[in-house]
Amino acid sequence: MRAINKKLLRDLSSMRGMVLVIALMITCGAATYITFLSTLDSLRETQQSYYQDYYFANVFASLKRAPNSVSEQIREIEGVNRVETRIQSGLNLEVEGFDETVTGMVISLPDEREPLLNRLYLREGRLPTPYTENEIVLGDGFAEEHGFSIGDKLQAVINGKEKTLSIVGIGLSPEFIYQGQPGSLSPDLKRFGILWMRRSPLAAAYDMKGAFNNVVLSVTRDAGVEDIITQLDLILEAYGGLGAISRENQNSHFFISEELKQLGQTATIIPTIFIAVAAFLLNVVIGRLIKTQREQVGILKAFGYRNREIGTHFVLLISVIVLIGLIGGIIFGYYLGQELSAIYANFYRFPYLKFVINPWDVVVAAIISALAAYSGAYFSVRDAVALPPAEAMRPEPPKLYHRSILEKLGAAKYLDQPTKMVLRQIGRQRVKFIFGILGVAFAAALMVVGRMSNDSVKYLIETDFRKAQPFDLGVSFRDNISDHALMEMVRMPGVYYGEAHRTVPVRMIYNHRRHLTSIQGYPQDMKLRKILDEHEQPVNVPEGGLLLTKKLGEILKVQAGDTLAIEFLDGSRESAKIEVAGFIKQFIGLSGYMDIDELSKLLPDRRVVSGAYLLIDRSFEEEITASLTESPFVGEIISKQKIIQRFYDSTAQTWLIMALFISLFAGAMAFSVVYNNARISLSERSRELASLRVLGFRRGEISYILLGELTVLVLLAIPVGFLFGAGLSWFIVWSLQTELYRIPMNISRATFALSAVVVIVSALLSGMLIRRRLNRLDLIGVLKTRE
Amino acid sequence: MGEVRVKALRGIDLDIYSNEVVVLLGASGSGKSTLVNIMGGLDTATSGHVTYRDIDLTNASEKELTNFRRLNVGFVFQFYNLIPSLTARENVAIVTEIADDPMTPEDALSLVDLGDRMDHFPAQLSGGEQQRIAIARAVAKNPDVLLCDEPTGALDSKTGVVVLKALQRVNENLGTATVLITHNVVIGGMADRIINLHDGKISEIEINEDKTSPDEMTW
Repeated sequence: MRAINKKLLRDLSSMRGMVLVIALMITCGAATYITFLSTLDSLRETQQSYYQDYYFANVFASLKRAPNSVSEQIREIEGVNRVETRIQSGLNLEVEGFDETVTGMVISLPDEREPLLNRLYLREGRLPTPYTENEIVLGDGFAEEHGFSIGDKLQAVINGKEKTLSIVGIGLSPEFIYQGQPGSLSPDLKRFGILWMRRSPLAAAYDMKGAFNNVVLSVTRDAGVEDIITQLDLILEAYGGLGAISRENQNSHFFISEELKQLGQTATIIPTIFIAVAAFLLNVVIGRLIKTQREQVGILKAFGYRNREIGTHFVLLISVIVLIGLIGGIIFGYYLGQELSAIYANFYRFPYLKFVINPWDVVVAAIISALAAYSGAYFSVRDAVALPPAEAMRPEPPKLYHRSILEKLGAAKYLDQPTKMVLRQIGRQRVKFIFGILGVAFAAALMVVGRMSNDSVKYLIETDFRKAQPFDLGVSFRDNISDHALMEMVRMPGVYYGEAHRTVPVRMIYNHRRHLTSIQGYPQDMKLRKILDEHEQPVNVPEGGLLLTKKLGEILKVQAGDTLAIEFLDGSRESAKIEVAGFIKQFIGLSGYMDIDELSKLLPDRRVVSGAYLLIDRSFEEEITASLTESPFVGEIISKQKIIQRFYDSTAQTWLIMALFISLFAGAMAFSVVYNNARISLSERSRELASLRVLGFRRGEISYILLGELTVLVLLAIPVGFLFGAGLSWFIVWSLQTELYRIPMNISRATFALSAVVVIVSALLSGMLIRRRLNRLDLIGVLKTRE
Repeated sequence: MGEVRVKALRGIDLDIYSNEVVVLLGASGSGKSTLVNIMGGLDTATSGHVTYRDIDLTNASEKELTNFRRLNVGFVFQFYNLIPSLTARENVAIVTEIADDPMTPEDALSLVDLGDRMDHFPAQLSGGEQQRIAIARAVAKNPDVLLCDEPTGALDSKTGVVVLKALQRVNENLGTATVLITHNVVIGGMADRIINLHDGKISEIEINEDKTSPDEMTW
């Protein structure tokens, strides 16, 4: 081996602490980048292939009832590829030993074949025997939550009749990747089950012989989905069509897409910050590392080494560091990517996971790391090489210091000499100091960002649920019923108070923009359901006109005072023109709100309601729910408390994992920045500090000089980090606005505190390591050598 | 390669007295620095005894040695070892701030004739000036022992003389026992005793009855 390469290896080995810390930064940057992007790629890839392999439909429509012959008409719509008509209905389930209300949805399977669309992936068992009654395939999430297996029985109330169903298969379908009640925030595997049954027995149970109430279509590659929906709606209008929707608006797909979109944002923003910060730190650290080699460059040049040879030497040195870091990053990224994808795949209940790692992501991570490292080295190497050898061999002239600003302001009298040293050191190396602050600040900011979504969703729940929805139970009726029904409910023991409302599915049209949503009719002075204005203050529904969720107004591009065309999709085929009275704040969902009497005037049935809100004595909740469940009118019962609980339960895990990931990386980053700063300061000042030790300074006293600077750095970096964190959070929230949620930005004090704690602990840890080095300072060597 | 033990000093038996100037002479590797390091509490001997007045330094802990240096010893180094971020005055103050009964930095600097350059940073001063600050820093705490390792080693002869005069003045005014390492025989002229070291042993102790003033020295 050539001597210069031996020097390379020895240099690496003698600087191994710093080499490892620099490599750690590269590892962190590359690992986050690869972890998140491979997770995102894998989930997208899995979703796509699942959709393709199991023929996920493109258009979905529900209706009251249409004869089977209508399917021929649908098939003739241009651009339609496959058509599958089905019978689909909500039902109540009873699970032994589980007292809460369990609802579900049953979907028909063709009698003698597999469905053309939305096929089942069977985890276990088989499809029900054709024409057989009471055999079902059960959704896997529900089965797993309750420990059902093949051969078990399940009690169900189908169309008012109690039945005992026998589980012959456990499966899932691309239609229900997200398994939850429509409108709820998170999958609810425990209280919502999906069942598949052969069509004939189901038709018999629901009185649907020779008819269907649900249809799904796939379309040809170039078909215009909007046109198909319009034509489908036209055909189904006569049969009580509720408005067809495209895949984009299908509940499960919509939820998954939003989640993936959100993950996509996180997967881009967080690793970008990491790799940028790592790049920036690398740049600084490597520049300094090369500076310490200045004399050696002079010596090599004096011996006749060419600039190019010396340059290559350093490129090799850095390449080794980059390589160590990258290999670590790829290994960790690959491993963590698999773990994280598996967690998500399980959360969404994909039948399988196609883990992919895009080589391009690895290449990008490598290029960014290498660029950062080489550019950091470039200027220092160039400067070192440019000097005539004689000058390079001489140590750099002593640095001129100045009095610090604090002293110039007259504080000099109050400062002891060590404190002056700290302040002047900071003043002389302002750029390095600011970079150090930025590095630590970014670490703190990442922590804030990592927990912000948690805080914000809590805030969202507080406002949307607790403030806007003071009810305990929400009941929706199977069909509109007379408003007398409310009287009966309120008479039930444990019910304090009740209010009815009327919700009607509608299509809102303004100019060429259309949106499927609903109008909720509320009585004046409603107590159990509040509409909040922009300042989160409750407002009444207007006596005339319609209030819209702000986001819905933006989608339709309407102003207050504009008139919307409304098509009612409740089967009445009525339509109306209603003026927009104003906008309201609502974080989840999109809706219109108006006076219930005004709404009823526009529709044929005047005195009917579609749901009610109840205020109850919580200790009666189970009994009330049980007796409501038995009522043939009641469709769905929502317990606010349980929705909130469930939401926290199901999302807590993913949040925790995410927060843990981010905390670890942010902690590692804060540690690297502080440690590197300290190590460099130490190598620059070891002589000075050793001299002071000789003069009788104690270990603690010289530690103060070195670590004092770091303390100032960390203390300044924390508020800056909070600011960055808030800014980044704002950006993320802004870019994550979707139709499903509009997450309000909210950062709790606990988040700020945790961020500060992680930074301080990392700083203390590196401070301790540095302190150990300070204790081992060579006091004698310093007397003999020159700077 | 295994470690090789080198004995820097062998069988040294030496007393240093208050008020005297001792010059340690010897070639490089003769053990002068090791001897001074042990006297100054920077190093401990592997065998033998070291005492300072009533304090036994032989088996002193790191903490005790630090305290010994802090209260009793002044050091002057070959390469000054000033703190670049502190002015002349502050370089002295950094020591007086931790001492028991120090003089003021101003007094210490006047002692070495630098009263007029107190607010300059080291980078703005010449080598001789820097070394005189180092001397002021070493004596400002009124130490009983002043240890100087090649104090003129990095200076030309004219500047070296100025520095030696400063040392001499300190010794005369304060009665500090001064031990001065050099390989420059001429400097031995200002000593009360000249101790020659060779190969880790004292080869000769000369009592100098006829001290010469640094002014008369050239090299």
